[in-house]
Amino acid sequence: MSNTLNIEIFETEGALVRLIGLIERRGFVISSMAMSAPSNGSARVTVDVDARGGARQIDVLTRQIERLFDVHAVSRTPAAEALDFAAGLAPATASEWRAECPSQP
Amino acid sequence: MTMLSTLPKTETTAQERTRNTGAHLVVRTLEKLGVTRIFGYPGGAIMPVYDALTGSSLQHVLVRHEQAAAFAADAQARITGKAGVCLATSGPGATNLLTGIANAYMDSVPMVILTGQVPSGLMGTDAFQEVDVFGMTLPVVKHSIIIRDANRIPELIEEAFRIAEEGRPGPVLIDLPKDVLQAEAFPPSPGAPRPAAKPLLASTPLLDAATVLLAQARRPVLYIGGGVGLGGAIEPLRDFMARTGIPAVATLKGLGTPHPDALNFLGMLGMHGTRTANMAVNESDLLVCVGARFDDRATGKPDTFAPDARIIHIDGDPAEIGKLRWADVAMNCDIADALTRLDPGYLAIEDWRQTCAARLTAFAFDYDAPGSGIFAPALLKQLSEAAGDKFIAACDVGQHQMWVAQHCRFAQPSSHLTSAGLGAMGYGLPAGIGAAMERPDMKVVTITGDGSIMMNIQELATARRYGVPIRILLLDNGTLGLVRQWQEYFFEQNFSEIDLYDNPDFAEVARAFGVESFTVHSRDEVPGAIDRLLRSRGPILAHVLIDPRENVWPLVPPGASNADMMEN
Repeated sequence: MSNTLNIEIFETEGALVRLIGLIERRGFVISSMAMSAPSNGSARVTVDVDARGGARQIDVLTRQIERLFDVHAVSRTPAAEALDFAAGLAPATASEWRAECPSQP
Repeated sequence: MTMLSTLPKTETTAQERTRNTGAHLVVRTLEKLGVTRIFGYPGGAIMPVYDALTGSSLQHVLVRHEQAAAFAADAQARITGKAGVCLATSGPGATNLLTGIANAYMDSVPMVILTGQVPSGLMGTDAFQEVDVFGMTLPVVKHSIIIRDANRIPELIEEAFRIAEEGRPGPVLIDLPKDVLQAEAFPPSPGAPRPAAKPLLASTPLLDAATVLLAQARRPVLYIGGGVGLGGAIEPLRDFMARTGIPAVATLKGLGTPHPDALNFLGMLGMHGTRTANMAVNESDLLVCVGARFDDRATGKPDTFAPDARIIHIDGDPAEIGKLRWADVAMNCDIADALTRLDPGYLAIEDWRQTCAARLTAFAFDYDAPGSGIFAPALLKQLSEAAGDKFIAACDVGQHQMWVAQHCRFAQPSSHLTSAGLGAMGYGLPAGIGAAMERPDMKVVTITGDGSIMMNIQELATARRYGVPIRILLLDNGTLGLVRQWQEYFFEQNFSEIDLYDNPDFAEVARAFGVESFTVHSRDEVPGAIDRLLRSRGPILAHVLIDPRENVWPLVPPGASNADMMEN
């Protein structure tokens, strides 16, 4: 299933190539992509991504993108179940996670 | 040819020291940040920084290959917890750093890498010694910066150190075009330092959920990774182990985190883990994963790893949670806080503890090898015991690396310097140099093999030049032992390109570098050799001849379950 990620990046050298490289390297294919003109030092990148195969979790990719220092916000469509560690919620239900990862027990 | 010593020596004037080029700002910023030692190798594009180093308080350690600069800085960082610094020129200098940068990235080591770059106007034109090191290192850095404006040098270097050290540590690369280094700069006065990030405290509902799972468990296992030490949570972890009595296993990077004498520590898990550790994980009904990441060398075949266990995953990095294994309780928080506040009280696991303890005895390593040849596991155990809590092992990669993990005792995670994630042969000697320069009071021993030493053997010159108090234990079996072992068992004994029959005499090589050395041929020479090695101020190399047929046991075959360990 395709997911759309909306990513706010800082307008810094290499931010876009770093973002695209991470998505590809972590096992996702970018099927379409758009970027807004930079404004006030940041730009919005919208990408549609599909897992290339294997145990790849879109919510893990989202958190890997959030770790980048060139990124200040990521949101997902369809909206993710809230990844709210502080509230005690798990990233997804166990059954959903296992359904997406057949290699897991 | 003019000898260097006959050239007139340039005196550093006060004016020189106060010059305000970009290069001088680089040096002064490093000094201001408290850096005392950097490892590097000069070349064209980085020459302005080398010019500015004259008169600096920084000790520059001239290695003989840039890869060694990265490995030495990495080892220093693992010991101090502060970012190590390495320096190289553009092009080949930068590409030679790559393996060391990747090594730091894979093992979450804080490092700041400074590379010279061709002048800005030539970037992108295939200029002499131009390589896009920024692009080349993107997959293996935590962050990277090309500094385009000399006025921003102090601010961006300070930011690089902050990023490298805070949270989950990692390498940060700073690329420095030559014209920026040569430009006069007048940076603005530094603003107020940014306050340190506050630790993310564990949430009470999650602690409660974890407590419920712990109370329900009958066969819990604590699965400890390198993140515990990185998170400053060694004492909370040891206290948690003592309070709960839960049997614990550790990854390669987790070794040294549990107290080495803790009775409920079962050893390393995974491919070359102990039988007791792998059996415990396999049978567990609750795995408390702390600062570990379900790496394939630890888990073996993932769908058979702890198949009946629920998972509590505690990690400072949110991106590790749920990456390879679903977590029933996912705690992205400060590990020390979580372990301090997680208090399940009495756990009804006495039978389980006794089962694990009995296995520790039943499956203890056997050090009585037949014959008079040197049995490397026994030698390493004796060495580790003789050095005691002052022991710091700087391992290379191969069979000896696994023997060190299995048979040595580590007082702290920083007592065990090993290329865990990347598995980079050539790490041991430069890492030992970095460690011994930082901690000359400790017994730093590089443990290497005849394959690995040849990947950075030129660093004997560095050890000699700086009188580094390093002891080198070279286990020579005349073969690429770990590859040979796999070919023996998994490639139908088709031994391909593993025979190093024509190795040089390593003791002679060491002497040629001006390093004291000796060769050990038989088992009865071992106690004297260990004594000589540890008593020496170093550098010293012990060349130890071992049997090429010796293998590392136990072994989980690639792609198999940890329950299917092979034994000798």
